[in-house]
Amino acid sequence: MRREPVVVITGTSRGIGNFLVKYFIEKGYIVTGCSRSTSTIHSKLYSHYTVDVSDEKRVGQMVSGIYNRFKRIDVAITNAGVASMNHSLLTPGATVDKLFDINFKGMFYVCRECAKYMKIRNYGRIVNFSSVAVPMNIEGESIYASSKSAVVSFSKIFAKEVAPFGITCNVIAPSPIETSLIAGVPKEKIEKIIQNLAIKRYGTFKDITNVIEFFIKKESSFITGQVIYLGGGG
Amino acid sequence: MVKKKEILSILRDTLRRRLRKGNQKIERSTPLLNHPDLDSLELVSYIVDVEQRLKEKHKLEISLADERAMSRSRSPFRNIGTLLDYICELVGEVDA
Repeated sequence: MRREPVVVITGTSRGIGNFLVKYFIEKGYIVTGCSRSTSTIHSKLYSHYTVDVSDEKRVGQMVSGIYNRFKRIDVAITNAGVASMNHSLLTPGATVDKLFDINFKGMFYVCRECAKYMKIRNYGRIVNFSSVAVPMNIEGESIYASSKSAVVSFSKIFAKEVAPFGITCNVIAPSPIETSLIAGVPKEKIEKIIQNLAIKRYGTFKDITNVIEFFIKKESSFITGQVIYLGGGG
Repeated sequence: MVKKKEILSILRDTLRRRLRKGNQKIERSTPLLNHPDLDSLELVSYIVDVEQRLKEKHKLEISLADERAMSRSRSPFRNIGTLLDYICELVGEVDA
């Protein structure tokens, strides 16, 4: 009997994460997700955990809970993230803490905990989220881009560390997509990013799932430590 | 309260499984860091397995390879006995 993959997605309350949950439910996958708020998605294929990914202990409890329930974790997609734009000279330390806590430490905790259980079956696919903001070096994005740059460095090294356990770890770096994440970012900044892309348009949810599908395919067992920048933003 | 011999049993059994040598005698003096059949990656796997089994069997959520362990002049991962002592120290109250 074919068993559908068990997928863990973070940041599922809105935007890309919310779309990914619905996308994988549609495919019949067993989807588990988390966000700081309760879920609006009701499906027998979806289990929601109200967890802040920057809470190390709660992430551990969530992941072990998922494993104990389904006896496996096949895919982890660390989508949860926050954005903030400000000149470095005007950026408080608390903003830096918040961005790194969620964008980097949250991603790290989920990767670490999921890999511990993926290791048991010698199989796993991890996809982390970076951003085209990393290679573009745009003023006002120093902290956000740094936190997303850390995701890339971590993922490349983590990919080597978990490869012996049959786990791959790759990165998708989206271009701007019309979600609440960029709602507070000035239009001209978004326009500047788009003008720096090879393909000058907003990204779509379909562009995201296309790359994720490629990374998580069983056949992608030889693809790891890679970064795909949407729109030719790299 | 978890007993010291129960922790020792987990340490021994987990190592036996990792080494895939079912009848091998594992003593407190059995080395971990310089074990001939345990490379660095195997040791990482062993530590993760021990952490998970302590969590599953005894609800003990501890991080074995944290800064406290790494900053010691004498590593707690020298052998089964030193790791056992270190775990008991982390757990605090352990029945003998």
